[in-house]
Amino acid sequence: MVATSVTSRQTGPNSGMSFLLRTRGVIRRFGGVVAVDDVSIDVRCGEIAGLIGPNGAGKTTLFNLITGLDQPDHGTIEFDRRDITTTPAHRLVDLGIARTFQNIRLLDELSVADNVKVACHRSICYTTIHALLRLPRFFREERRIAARCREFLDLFDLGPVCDDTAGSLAYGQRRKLEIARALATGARLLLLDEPAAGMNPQETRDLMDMIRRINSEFKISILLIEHDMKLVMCICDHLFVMDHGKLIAGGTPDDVRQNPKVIEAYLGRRSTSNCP
Amino acid sequence: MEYILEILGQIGIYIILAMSLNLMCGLTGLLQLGHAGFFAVGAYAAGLVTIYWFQPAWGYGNYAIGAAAAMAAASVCALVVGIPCLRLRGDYLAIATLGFGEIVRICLNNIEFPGCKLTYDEPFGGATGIELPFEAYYSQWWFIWIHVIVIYILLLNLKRSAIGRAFMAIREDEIAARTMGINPARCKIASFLFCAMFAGLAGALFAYNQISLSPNDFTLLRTIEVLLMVVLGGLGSFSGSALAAVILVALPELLRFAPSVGGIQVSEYRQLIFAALLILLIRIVPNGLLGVNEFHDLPRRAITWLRRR
Ligand SMILES: Nc1ncnc2c1ncn2[C@@H]1O[C@H](COP(=O)(O)OP(=O)(O)OP(=O)(O)O)[C@@H](O)[C@H]1O
Ligand SMILES: [Mg+2]
Repeated sequence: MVATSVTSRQTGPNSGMSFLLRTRGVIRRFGGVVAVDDVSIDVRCGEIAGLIGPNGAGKTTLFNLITGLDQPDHGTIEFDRRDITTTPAHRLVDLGIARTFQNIRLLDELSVADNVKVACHRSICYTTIHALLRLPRFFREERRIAARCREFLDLFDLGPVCDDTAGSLAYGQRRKLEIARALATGARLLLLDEPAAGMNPQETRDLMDMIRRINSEFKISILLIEHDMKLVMCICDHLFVMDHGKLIAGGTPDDVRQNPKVIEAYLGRRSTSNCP
Repeated sequence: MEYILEILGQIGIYIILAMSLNLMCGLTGLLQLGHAGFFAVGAYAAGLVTIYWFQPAWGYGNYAIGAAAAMAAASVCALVVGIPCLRLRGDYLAIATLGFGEIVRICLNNIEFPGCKLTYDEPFGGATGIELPFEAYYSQWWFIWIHVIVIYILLLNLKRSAIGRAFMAIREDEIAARTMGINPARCKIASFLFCAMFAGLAGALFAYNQISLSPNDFTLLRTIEVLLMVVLGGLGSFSGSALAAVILVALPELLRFAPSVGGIQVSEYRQLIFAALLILLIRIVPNGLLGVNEFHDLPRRAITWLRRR
Protein backbone atom coordinates (compact mmCIF):
# COMPACT_ATOMS: atom_id res chain seq x y z
CA MET A 1 0.00 0.00 0.00
CA VAL A 2 2.79 2.35 0.95
CA ALA A 3 4.77 1.65 -2.19
CA THR A 4 1.93 2.36 -4.62
CA SER A 5 0.81 5.51 -2.91
CA VAL A 6 4.15 7.14 -3.72
CA THR A 7 3.33 7.40 -7.40
CA SER A 8 -0.37 8.02 -7.00
CA ARG A 9 0.24 11.06 -4.83
CA GLN A 10 2.60 12.77 -7.23
CA THR A 11 1.61 16.21 -8.40
CA GLY A 12 2.70 18.36 -11.32
CA PRO A 13 3.29 17.50 -14.97
CA ASN A 14 6.51 15.47 -14.94
CA SER A 15 5.69 14.04 -11.61
CA GLY A 16 8.20 11.25 -11.79
CA MET A 17 11.05 13.68 -11.29
CA SER A 18 9.52 16.50 -9.25
CA PHE A 19 11.66 16.88 -6.19
CA LEU A 20 10.64 19.39 -3.60
CA LEU A 21 13.78 19.28 -1.51
CA ARG A 22 17.18 18.24 -2.72
CA THR A 23 20.49 18.41 -0.87
CA ARG A 24 23.77 17.75 -2.63
CA GLY A 25 26.99 16.89 -0.82
CA VAL A 26 26.11 18.83 2.31
CA ILE A 27 28.86 18.98 4.92
CA ARG A 28 28.76 20.62 8.33
CA ARG A 29 31.64 20.42 10.77
CA PHE A 30 31.72 21.42 14.42
CA GLY A 31 35.38 21.57 15.30
CA GLY A 32 36.62 18.03 14.83
CA VAL A 33 33.16 16.51 14.59
CA VAL A 34 31.70 16.17 11.12
CA ALA A 35 28.04 16.30 12.13
CA VAL A 36 26.77 16.07 8.55
CA ASP A 37 29.14 14.43 6.10
CA ASP A 38 28.42 14.63 2.38
CA VAL A 39 24.69 14.06 2.62
CA SER A 40 22.52 14.10 -0.51
CA ILE A 41 18.83 13.44 -0.12
CA ASP A 42 15.76 14.05 -2.26
CA VAL A 43 12.26 14.55 -0.96
CA ARG A 44 9.60 14.22 -3.63
CA CYS A 45 6.47 16.34 -3.85
CA GLY A 46 3.66 14.91 -1.80
CA GLU A 47 5.56 12.16 -0.05
CA ILE A 48 6.24 11.40 3.58
CA ALA A 49 9.95 10.85 3.97
CA GLY A 50 11.63 9.64 7.11
CA LEU A 51 15.09 10.40 8.43
CA ILE A 52 16.38 7.88 10.92
CA GLY A 53 19.64 7.07 12.60
CA PRO A 54 21.14 6.51 16.02
CA ASN A 55 21.65 9.33 18.51
CA GLY A 56 24.18 11.90 17.37
CA ALA A 57 23.90 10.81 13.74
CA GLY A 58 23.44 14.42 12.61
CA LYS A 59 19.73 14.39 11.84
CA THR A 60 18.86 17.56 13.73
CA THR A 61 21.92 19.28 12.32
CA LEU A 62 20.71 18.46 8.80
CA PHE A 63 17.30 19.93 9.68
CA ASN A 64 18.99 23.08 10.90
CA LEU A 65 20.85 23.37 7.60
CA ILE A 66 17.68 22.86 5.56
CA THR A 67 15.70 25.40 7.58
CA GLY A 68 18.39 28.06 7.38
CA LEU A 69 19.19 28.15 11.07
CA ASP A 70 22.69 26.99 10.22
CA GLN A 71 24.80 27.17 7.07
CA PRO A 72 26.62 24.18 5.53
CA ASP A 73 30.39 24.32 5.04
CA HIS A 74 29.99 22.65 1.66
CA GLY A 75 27.24 21.52 -0.65
CA THR A 76 23.97 22.95 -1.84
CA ILE A 77 20.37 22.74 -0.77
CA GLU A 78 17.57 23.25 -3.27
CA PHE A 79 13.91 23.73 -2.58
CA ASP A 80 11.49 23.64 -5.45
CA ARG A 81 14.41 24.04 -7.91
CA ARG A 82 15.64 27.14 -6.11
CA ASP A 83 18.98 27.30 -4.37
CA ILE A 84 18.31 28.00 -0.70
CA THR A 85 21.73 27.14 0.69
CA THR A 86 22.29 30.59 2.17
CA THR A 87 18.72 31.85 2.43
CA PRO A 88 18.01 33.06 5.99
CA ALA A 89 15.46 31.11 8.00
CA HIS A 90 12.70 33.73 7.97
CA ARG A 91 12.73 33.92 4.18
CA LEU A 92 12.32 30.17 3.82
CA VAL A 93 8.90 30.55 5.39
CA ASP A 94 7.82 32.49 2.31
CA LEU A 95 8.97 29.63 0.11
CA GLY A 96 7.00 27.15 2.21
CA ILE A 97 9.33 25.38 4.63
CA ALA A 98 8.24 24.95 8.23
CA ARG A 99 9.54 22.82 11.06
CA THR A 100 9.10 21.69 14.62
CA PHE A 101 11.86 21.14 17.13
CA GLN A 102 13.09 18.12 19.03
CA ASN A 103 12.93 20.08 22.29
CA ILE A 104 9.63 21.86 21.72
CA ARG A 105 10.07 25.59 21.17
CA LEU A 106 6.83 27.35 21.96
CA LEU A 107 6.36 30.97 22.95
CA ASP A 108 5.47 30.01 26.50
CA GLU A 109 4.24 33.35 27.79
CA LEU A 110 1.96 33.95 24.82
CA SER A 111 -1.49 32.47 24.47
CA VAL A 112 -2.05 29.37 22.38
CA ALA A 113 -3.90 31.45 19.80
CA ASP A 114 -1.09 34.01 19.64
CA ASN A 115 1.45 31.24 19.06
CA VAL A 116 -0.40 30.33 15.90
CA LYS A 117 -0.98 33.96 14.94
CA VAL A 118 2.75 34.60 15.08
CA ALA A 119 3.13 31.91 12.45
CA CYS A 120 0.82 33.88 10.14
CA HIS A 121 3.20 36.84 10.37
CA ARG A 122 4.30 36.76 6.73
CA SER A 123 0.77 36.66 5.37
CA ILE A 124 -0.47 39.67 7.31
CA CYS A 125 -0.60 42.69 5.08
CA TYR A 126 -0.90 45.81 7.13
CA THR A 127 1.79 48.30 8.01
CA THR A 128 2.88 49.71 11.34
CA ILE A 129 0.71 52.75 10.67
CA HIS A 130 -2.38 50.58 10.26
CA ALA A 131 -1.55 48.88 13.55
CA LEU A 132 -0.77 52.05 15.51
CA LEU A 133 -3.90 53.88 14.36
CA ARG A 134 -6.12 50.81 14.13
CA LEU A 135 -7.26 51.57 10.62
CA PRO A 136 -9.97 49.33 9.09
CA ARG A 137 -7.45 47.15 7.32
CA PHE A 138 -5.96 46.20 10.67
CA PHE A 139 -9.27 44.81 11.89
CA ARG A 140 -9.97 43.06 8.59
CA GLU A 141 -6.61 41.31 8.62
CA GLU A 142 -6.77 40.44 12.31
CA ARG A 143 -10.20 38.88 11.81
CA ARG A 144 -8.92 36.86 8.87
CA ILE A 145 -5.92 35.67 10.88
CA ALA A 146 -8.05 34.80 13.90
CA ALA A 147 -10.34 32.67 11.76
CA ARG A 148 -7.40 30.92 10.16
CA CYS A 149 -5.84 30.20 13.55
CA ARG A 150 -9.09 28.83 14.78
CA GLU A 151 -9.14 26.31 11.93
CA PHE A 152 -5.70 25.01 12.73
CA LEU A 153 -6.38 24.90 16.46
CA ASP A 154 -9.62 23.00 15.95
CA LEU A 155 -7.82 20.55 13.70
CA PHE A 156 -5.65 19.63 16.67
CA ASP A 157 -8.43 19.90 19.29
CA LEU A 158 -6.75 22.92 20.80
CA GLY A 159 -9.77 25.20 20.39
CA PRO A 160 -10.90 24.98 24.02
CA VAL A 161 -7.51 26.04 25.37
CA CYS A 162 -6.82 28.79 22.86
CA ASP A 163 -6.73 31.54 25.51
CA ASP A 164 -4.41 29.69 27.90
CA THR A 165 -0.72 30.43 27.82
CA ALA A 166 1.27 27.94 25.81
CA GLY A 167 3.46 27.24 28.82
CA SER A 168 0.52 25.83 30.75
CA LEU A 169 -0.30 23.08 28.23
CA ALA A 170 0.25 19.38 28.78
CA TYR A 171 3.13 17.74 26.92
CA GLY A 172 1.07 16.13 24.17
CA GLN A 173 -0.78 19.36 23.54
CA ARG A 174 2.50 21.22 23.29
CA ARG A 175 3.67 18.88 20.55
CA LYS A 176 0.38 19.34 18.71
CA LEU A 177 0.50 23.11 19.06
CA GLU A 178 3.96 23.18 17.57
CA ILE A 179 2.74 21.25 14.54
CA ALA A 180 -0.34 23.47 14.23
CA ARG A 181 1.91 26.50 14.35
CA ALA A 182 4.21 25.10 11.66
CA LEU A 183 1.20 24.39 9.42
CA ALA A 184 -0.14 27.89 9.92
CA THR A 185 2.90 29.33 8.16
CA GLY A 186 1.37 27.96 4.97
CA ALA A 187 4.10 25.38 4.52
CA ARG A 188 4.47 23.03 1.56
CA LEU A 189 7.21 21.05 3.26
CA LEU A 190 6.94 20.23 6.92
CA LEU A 191 9.98 19.02 8.83
CA LEU A 192 9.12 17.24 12.06
CA ASP A 193 11.92 16.54 14.52
CA GLU A 194 10.89 13.55 16.63
CA PRO A 195 7.20 14.45 16.83
CA ALA A 196 6.31 11.31 18.80
CA ALA A 197 9.06 11.65 21.40
CA GLY A 198 7.60 11.29 24.88
CA MET A 199 4.14 10.32 23.69
CA ASN A 200 2.25 7.24 24.87
CA PRO A 201 1.17 4.59 22.30
CA GLN A 202 -2.33 6.04 21.94
CA GLU A 203 -1.01 9.55 21.39
CA THR A 204 1.50 8.18 18.91
CA ARG A 205 -1.25 6.47 16.91
CA ASP A 206 -3.30 9.68 16.84
CA LEU A 207 -0.23 11.56 15.73
CA MET A 208 0.36 9.10 12.87
CA ASP A 209 -3.18 9.58 11.65
CA MET A 210 -2.72 13.30 11.90
CA ILE A 211 0.50 13.25 9.90
CA ARG A 212 -1.14 11.16 7.20
CA ARG A 213 -4.06 13.54 7.12
CA ILE A 214 -1.86 16.61 6.85
CA ASN A 215 -0.06 14.91 4.00
CA SER A 216 -3.11 13.85 2.02
CA GLU A 217 -5.63 16.55 2.86
CA PHE A 218 -3.38 19.60 2.76
CA LYS A 219 -1.02 18.21 0.11
CA ILE A 220 1.97 18.91 2.31
CA SER A 221 5.18 16.96 1.90
CA ILE A 222 6.72 15.78 5.12
CA LEU A 223 10.22 14.93 6.23
CA LEU A 224 10.32 13.51 9.72
CA ILE A 225 12.95 12.37 12.15
CA GLU A 226 11.72 9.62 14.40
CA HIS A 227 13.09 6.93 16.66
CA ASP A 228 9.79 5.05 16.85
CA MET A 229 10.36 2.41 14.16
CA LYS A 230 6.74 1.34 14.04
CA LEU A 231 5.68 4.82 13.15
CA VAL A 232 8.43 5.35 10.63
CA MET A 233 7.98 2.04 8.83
CA CYS A 234 4.24 2.51 8.60
CA ILE A 235 3.81 6.04 7.38
CA CYS A 236 6.94 6.81 5.38
CA ASP A 237 7.06 6.39 1.62
CA HIS A 238 10.79 6.81 1.62
CA LEU A 239 13.49 6.49 4.26
CA PHE A 240 16.95 7.94 4.71
CA VAL A 241 19.31 6.48 7.25
CA MET A 242 22.18 8.45 8.74
CA ASP A 243 24.99 7.28 10.96
CA HIS A 244 27.94 9.34 12.16
CA GLY A 245 27.01 12.14 9.82
CA LYS A 246 26.94 9.94 6.72
CA LEU A 247 23.94 8.85 4.72
CA ILE A 248 24.26 5.07 4.85
CA ALA A 249 21.06 4.05 3.10
CA GLY A 250 18.01 5.38 1.33
CA GLY A 251 14.95 3.72 -0.15
CA THR A 252 11.56 2.32 0.67
CA PRO A 253 11.02 1.10 4.22
CA ASP A 254 11.30 -2.50 3.03
CA ASP A 255 14.62 -1.89 1.27
CA VAL A 256 15.97 -0.13 4.30
CA ARG A 257 14.80 -2.82 6.66
CA GLN A 258 16.79 -5.41 4.74
CA ASN A 259 19.88 -3.30 4.17
CA PRO A 260 22.75 -4.98 6.07
CA LYS A 261 24.47 -1.66 6.78
CA VAL A 262 21.35 -0.35 8.42
CA ILE A 263 20.80 -3.47 10.43
CA GLU A 264 24.34 -3.22 11.64
CA ALA A 265 24.19 0.45 12.49
CA TYR A 266 20.79 0.76 13.88
CA LEU A 267 17.95 -1.58 13.20
CA GLY A 268 19.44 -4.88 14.27
CA ARG A 269 17.32 -5.24 17.33
CA ARG A 270 13.90 -4.36 16.02
CA SER A 271 13.93 -4.97 12.27
CA THR A 272 10.75 -7.04 12.31
CA SER A 273 8.33 -4.62 13.92
CA ASN A 274 4.85 -4.57 12.39
CA CYS A 275 2.37 -1.84 11.72
CA PRO A 276 -0.27 -1.38 14.42
CA MET B 1 -1.05 73.33 44.22
CA GLU B 2 1.74 74.50 41.93
CA TYR B 3 3.89 71.87 43.56
CA ILE B 4 1.41 69.07 42.97
CA LEU B 5 0.99 69.99 39.32
CA GLU B 6 4.76 70.09 38.95
CA ILE B 7 4.98 66.56 40.36
CA LEU B 8 2.14 65.49 38.07
CA GLY B 9 4.14 66.71 35.08
CA GLN B 10 7.22 64.83 36.30
CA ILE B 11 5.15 61.68 36.66
CA GLY B 12 3.89 62.06 33.10
CA ILE B 13 7.41 62.33 31.69
CA TYR B 14 8.52 59.31 33.69
CA ILE B 15 5.52 57.33 32.44
CA ILE B 16 6.50 58.01 28.84
CA LEU B 17 10.10 57.04 29.58
CA ALA B 18 9.07 53.86 31.37
CA MET B 19 6.57 52.79 28.70
CA SER B 20 9.06 53.35 25.89
CA LEU B 21 11.77 51.40 27.71
CA ASN B 22 9.26 48.65 28.40
CA LEU B 23 8.65 48.29 24.68
CA MET B 24 12.27 47.29 24.24
CA CYS B 25 13.07 45.56 27.54
CA GLY B 26 9.73 44.06 28.38
CA LEU B 27 8.15 43.31 25.03
CA THR B 28 11.19 42.55 22.89
CA GLY B 29 13.39 41.32 25.73
CA LEU B 30 16.41 43.49 24.92
CA LEU B 31 18.11 45.04 27.94
CA GLN B 32 18.86 48.65 27.14
CA LEU B 33 20.73 50.89 29.60
CA GLY B 34 21.15 54.02 27.53
CA HIS B 35 17.66 55.39 27.98
CA ALA B 36 18.87 58.58 29.66
CA GLY B 37 21.05 59.12 26.60
CA PHE B 38 18.10 59.11 24.21
CA PHE B 39 16.17 61.25 26.65
CA ALA B 40 19.09 63.72 26.68
CA VAL B 41 19.44 63.73 22.90
CA GLY B 42 15.72 64.52 22.61
CA ALA B 43 15.84 67.23 25.23
CA TYR B 44 18.91 68.93 23.76
CA ALA B 45 17.66 68.62 20.18
CA ALA B 46 14.37 70.26 21.09
CA GLY B 47 16.13 72.81 23.28
CA LEU B 48 18.66 73.85 20.67
CA VAL B 49 16.10 74.05 17.88
CA THR B 50 14.01 76.34 20.03
CA ILE B 51 16.96 78.45 21.17
CA TYR B 52 18.22 79.04 17.63
CA TRP B 53 14.95 79.34 15.74
CA PHE B 54 12.44 80.52 18.29
CA GLN B 55 9.46 82.31 16.71
CA PRO B 56 7.31 83.94 19.41
CA ALA B 57 4.40 84.24 16.99
CA TRP B 58 4.23 80.49 16.31
CA GLY B 59 3.35 79.45 19.83
CA TYR B 60 2.99 75.70 19.97
CA GLY B 61 4.45 75.48 16.47
CA ASN B 62 7.82 75.87 18.16
CA TYR B 63 6.97 72.88 20.26
CA ALA B 64 5.96 70.83 17.20
CA ILE B 65 9.23 71.56 15.42
CA GLY B 66 11.26 70.88 18.55
CA ALA B 67 9.46 67.61 19.25
CA ALA B 68 9.94 66.46 15.67
CA ALA B 69 13.64 67.29 15.89
CA ALA B 70 13.88 65.46 19.20
CA MET B 71 12.29 62.30 17.85
CA ALA B 72 14.38 62.42 14.68
CA ALA B 73 17.63 62.92 16.59
CA ALA B 74 16.89 60.12 19.03
CA SER B 75 15.90 57.80 16.18
CA VAL B 76 19.12 58.52 14.31
CA CYS B 77 21.07 57.73 17.48
CA ALA B 78 19.15 54.48 17.87
CA LEU B 79 20.09 53.50 14.32
CA VAL B 80 23.73 54.43 14.83
CA VAL B 81 23.95 52.49 18.08
CA GLY B 82 21.53 49.74 17.14
CA ILE B 83 22.74 48.49 13.77
CA PRO B 84 26.26 47.52 14.90
CA CYS B 85 24.84 46.11 18.14
CA LEU B 86 22.18 43.99 16.45
CA ARG B 87 24.10 40.81 16.88
CA LEU B 88 24.73 41.55 20.51
CA ARG B 89 22.45 39.91 23.00
CA GLY B 90 21.78 40.24 26.68
CA ASP B 91 24.65 41.70 28.62
CA TYR B 92 26.56 42.93 25.59
CA LEU B 93 23.73 45.03 24.26
CA ALA B 94 23.22 46.39 27.76
CA ILE B 95 26.88 47.41 28.00
CA ALA B 96 26.94 48.95 24.53
CA THR B 97 23.86 51.07 25.25
CA LEU B 98 25.17 51.94 28.70
CA GLY B 99 28.27 53.24 26.96
CA PHE B 100 26.11 55.30 24.62
CA GLY B 101 24.28 56.91 27.52
CA GLU B 102 27.51 57.91 29.21
CA ILE B 103 29.07 59.16 25.97
CA VAL B 104 26.07 61.42 25.40
CA ARG B 105 26.29 62.84 28.90
CA ILE B 106 30.04 63.42 28.71
CA CYS B 107 29.73 65.04 25.29
CA LEU B 108 27.03 67.39 26.51
CA ASN B 109 29.23 68.23 29.47
CA ASN B 110 32.05 69.31 27.20
CA ILE B 111 30.35 70.88 24.21
CA GLU B 112 29.77 74.59 24.40
CA PHE B 113 26.81 75.40 22.22
CA PRO B 114 27.51 78.84 20.71
CA GLY B 115 25.01 81.47 21.67
CA CYS B 116 23.49 79.41 24.46
CA LYS B 117 23.55 80.76 27.93
CA LEU B 118 25.94 78.70 30.00
CA THR B 119 24.74 78.04 33.49
CA TYR B 120 28.12 77.91 35.17
CA ASP B 121 26.84 79.51 38.29
CA GLU B 122 24.18 76.87 38.87
CA PRO B 123 24.50 74.85 42.04
CA PHE B 124 25.65 71.87 39.92
CA GLY B 125 29.09 73.46 40.09
CA GLY B 126 30.78 73.76 36.76
CA ALA B 127 28.34 71.79 34.67
CA THR B 128 27.38 73.42 31.42
CA GLY B 129 23.83 73.67 30.31
CA ILE B 130 21.51 75.46 27.95
CA GLU B 131 18.59 77.71 28.66
CA LEU B 132 15.50 77.99 26.51
CA PRO B 133 13.55 81.23 26.07
CA PHE B 134 11.21 81.55 28.98
CA GLU B 135 8.19 81.77 26.65
CA ALA B 136 8.92 78.19 25.57
CA TYR B 137 7.27 76.76 28.65
CA TYR B 138 4.84 74.61 26.66
CA SER B 139 4.87 71.49 28.81
CA GLN B 140 2.21 72.24 31.35
CA TRP B 141 1.10 69.20 33.26
CA TRP B 142 -1.99 68.69 31.11
CA PHE B 143 0.03 68.99 27.93
CA ILE B 144 2.34 66.23 29.15
CA TRP B 145 -0.62 64.08 30.11
CA ILE B 146 -2.19 64.38 26.68
CA HIS B 147 1.04 62.86 25.39
CA VAL B 148 0.94 60.15 28.02
CA ILE B 149 -2.54 59.08 26.98
CA VAL B 150 -1.84 59.16 23.25
CA ILE B 151 1.42 57.23 23.61
CA TYR B 152 -0.24 54.72 25.92
CA ILE B 153 -2.91 54.04 23.31
CA LEU B 154 -0.38 53.82 20.48
CA LEU B 155 1.81 51.39 22.40
CA LEU B 156 -1.16 49.22 23.35
CA ASN B 157 -2.21 49.12 19.69
CA LEU B 158 1.31 48.14 18.75
CA LYS B 159 1.42 45.42 21.38
CA ARG B 160 -1.82 43.86 20.17
CA SER B 161 -0.82 43.72 16.53
CA ALA B 162 1.36 41.49 14.40
CA ILE B 163 4.30 43.76 15.20
CA GLY B 164 3.85 43.38 18.95
CA ARG B 165 3.46 39.63 18.57
CA ALA B 166 6.68 39.50 16.56
CA PHE B 167 8.49 41.48 19.30
CA MET B 168 7.21 39.09 21.96
CA ALA B 169 8.10 36.08 19.83
CA ILE B 170 11.69 37.30 19.73
CA ARG B 171 11.67 37.72 23.50
CA GLU B 172 10.31 34.22 24.02
CA ASP B 173 12.40 32.29 21.54
CA GLU B 174 14.35 33.93 18.76
CA ILE B 175 15.06 30.68 16.91
CA ALA B 176 11.40 29.66 16.89
CA ALA B 177 10.51 33.19 15.78
CA ARG B 178 12.88 32.92 12.83
CA THR B 179 11.33 29.67 11.65
CA MET B 180 7.96 31.39 11.68
CA GLY B 181 9.09 34.06 9.29
CA ILE B 182 10.09 36.80 11.68
CA ASN B 183 13.19 38.75 10.77
CA PRO B 184 14.85 39.31 14.15
CA ALA B 185 17.21 42.02 12.96
CA ARG B 186 14.38 44.11 11.58
CA CYS B 187 12.19 43.66 14.62
CA LYS B 188 14.95 44.53 17.04
CA ILE B 189 15.81 47.69 15.15
CA ALA B 190 12.13 48.63 14.95
CA SER B 191 11.74 48.08 18.66
CA PHE B 192 14.86 50.11 19.40
CA LEU B 193 13.64 52.90 17.10
CA PHE B 194 10.25 53.15 18.79
CA CYS B 195 11.91 53.06 22.19
CA ALA B 196 14.35 55.84 21.34
CA MET B 197 11.77 57.92 19.52
CA PHE B 198 9.40 58.08 22.47
CA ALA B 199 12.33 58.70 24.83
CA GLY B 200 13.28 61.59 22.56
CA LEU B 201 9.74 62.93 22.72
CA ALA B 202 9.86 62.68 26.51
CA GLY B 203 13.10 64.65 26.29
CA ALA B 204 11.37 67.40 24.32
CA LEU B 205 8.57 67.58 26.88
CA PHE B 206 11.19 67.73 29.60
CA ALA B 207 13.01 70.58 27.84
CA TYR B 208 9.83 72.64 27.48
CA ASN B 209 9.01 71.92 31.09
CA GLN B 210 12.38 72.66 32.70
CA ILE B 211 13.49 75.48 30.37
CA SER B 212 17.08 75.12 31.56
CA LEU B 213 18.83 71.84 30.84
CA SER B 214 22.00 70.47 32.31
CA PRO B 215 23.88 67.25 31.48
CA ASN B 216 23.39 66.24 35.09
CA ASP B 217 19.70 65.68 34.38
CA PHE B 218 20.65 62.68 32.26
CA THR B 219 22.84 60.47 34.39
CA LEU B 220 22.80 56.71 34.55
CA LEU B 221 20.74 57.05 37.68
CA ARG B 222 17.82 58.19 35.56
CA THR B 223 18.05 55.10 33.36
CA ILE B 224 18.11 52.96 36.48
CA GLU B 225 15.07 54.74 37.91
CA VAL B 226 13.16 54.14 34.69
CA LEU B 227 14.28 50.52 34.51
CA LEU B 228 13.09 50.09 38.08
CA MET B 229 9.66 51.34 37.01
CA VAL B 230 9.60 48.89 34.12
CA VAL B 231 10.51 45.94 36.33
CA LEU B 232 8.25 46.96 39.18
CA GLY B 233 5.30 47.50 36.84
CA GLY B 234 5.83 44.22 35.04
CA LEU B 235 7.93 43.48 31.96
CA GLY B 236 5.66 43.79 28.97
CA SER B 237 2.87 45.70 30.72
CA PHE B 238 2.56 49.33 29.70
CA SER B 239 -0.14 49.91 32.31
CA GLY B 240 2.22 48.46 34.87
CA SER B 241 4.95 50.89 33.87
CA ALA B 242 2.56 53.79 34.25
CA LEU B 243 1.41 52.58 37.63
CA ALA B 244 4.97 52.03 38.82
CA ALA B 245 6.01 55.47 37.60
CA VAL B 246 3.21 57.04 39.62
CA ILE B 247 4.22 55.09 42.71
CA LEU B 248 7.95 55.63 42.40
CA VAL B 249 7.65 59.38 41.85
CA ALA B 250 4.79 60.07 44.23
CA LEU B 251 5.84 57.84 47.11
CA PRO B 252 9.06 59.68 48.06
CA GLU B 253 7.15 62.96 47.79
CA LEU B 254 4.35 61.68 50.00
CA LEU B 255 6.82 60.42 52.56
CA ARG B 256 7.99 64.02 52.95
CA PHE B 257 4.67 64.72 54.59
CA ALA B 258 4.67 61.68 56.82
CA PRO B 259 3.59 62.61 60.35
CA SER B 260 5.95 62.20 63.25
CA VAL B 261 5.27 59.04 65.19
CA GLY B 262 6.20 58.96 68.86
CA GLY B 263 8.58 61.86 68.54
CA ILE B 264 10.40 60.35 65.53
CA GLN B 265 10.28 62.47 62.40
CA VAL B 266 9.31 59.74 59.89
CA SER B 267 9.91 61.99 56.92
CA GLU B 268 13.62 62.13 57.73
CA TYR B 269 13.87 58.43 57.08
CA ARG B 270 11.96 58.59 53.82
CA GLN B 271 14.82 57.25 51.65
CA LEU B 272 15.17 54.31 54.01
CA ILE B 273 11.44 53.62 54.09
CA PHE B 274 11.24 54.00 50.34
CA ALA B 275 13.97 51.41 49.78
CA ALA B 276 12.40 49.03 52.27
CA LEU B 277 9.00 49.36 50.57
CA LEU B 278 10.55 48.66 47.19
CA ILE B 279 12.24 45.50 48.41
CA LEU B 280 8.99 44.44 49.99
CA LEU B 281 7.03 45.08 46.77
CA ILE B 282 9.42 43.08 44.63
CA ARG B 283 9.25 40.23 47.14
CA ILE B 284 5.47 40.22 47.06
CA VAL B 285 5.10 40.58 43.29
CA PRO B 286 8.26 39.25 41.66
CA ASN B 287 6.70 39.49 38.21
CA GLY B 288 5.82 43.13 38.70
CA LEU B 289 2.63 44.77 39.85
CA LEU B 290 0.62 43.78 36.78
CA GLY B 291 2.72 40.96 35.36
CA VAL B 292 2.12 41.03 31.63
CA ASN B 293 -1.45 42.34 31.94
CA GLU B 294 -2.82 45.71 31.00
CA PHE B 295 -5.51 47.59 32.91
CA HIS B 296 -8.19 46.42 30.49
CA ASP B 297 -7.15 42.77 31.01
CA LEU B 298 -7.70 42.95 34.74
CA PRO B 299 -11.47 42.39 34.94
CA ARG B 300 -11.21 39.33 32.70
CA ARG B 301 -8.24 38.02 34.69
CA ALA B 302 -10.11 38.54 37.93
CA ILE B 303 -13.08 36.55 36.61
CA THR B 304 -10.99 33.59 35.45
CA TRP B 305 -9.08 33.70 38.75
CA LEU B 306 -12.32 33.61 40.72
CA ARG B 307 -13.65 30.74 38.57
CA ARG B 308 -10.57 28.68 39.26
CA ARG B 309 -11.06 29.03 43.02
N1 LIG C 1 26.07 23.50 17.77
C1 LIG C 1 26.88 22.43 17.87
N2 LIG C 1 28.16 22.57 18.26
C2 LIG C 1 28.98 21.50 18.35
N3 LIG C 1 28.61 20.25 18.08
C3 LIG C 1 27.35 20.03 17.69
C4 LIG C 1 26.41 21.11 17.56
N4 LIG C 1 25.23 20.60 17.14
C5 LIG C 1 25.43 19.28 17.01
N5 LIG C 1 26.67 18.93 17.34
C6 LIG C 1 27.23 17.58 17.27
O1 LIG C 1 26.88 17.03 16.04
C7 LIG C 1 26.53 15.68 16.17
C8 LIG C 1 25.15 15.43 15.59
O2 LIG C 1 24.16 16.03 16.42
P1 LIG C 1 22.61 16.04 16.09
O3 LIG C 1 21.92 16.79 17.16
O4 LIG C 1 22.42 16.50 14.72
O5 LIG C 1 22.26 14.51 16.21
P2 LIG C 1 20.83 13.80 16.05
O6 LIG C 1 20.95 12.84 14.96
O7 LIG C 1 19.76 14.81 15.96
O8 LIG C 1 20.75 13.00 17.42
P3 LIG C 1 19.47 12.72 18.36
O9 LIG C 1 18.80 11.53 17.82
O10 LIG C 1 20.08 12.48 19.69
O11 LIG C 1 18.60 13.93 18.32
C9 LIG C 1 26.63 15.32 17.63
O12 LIG C 1 27.86 14.68 17.84
C10 LIG C 1 26.62 16.66 18.32
O13 LIG C 1 27.39 16.61 19.48
MG1 LIG D 1 18.15 15.37 17.06
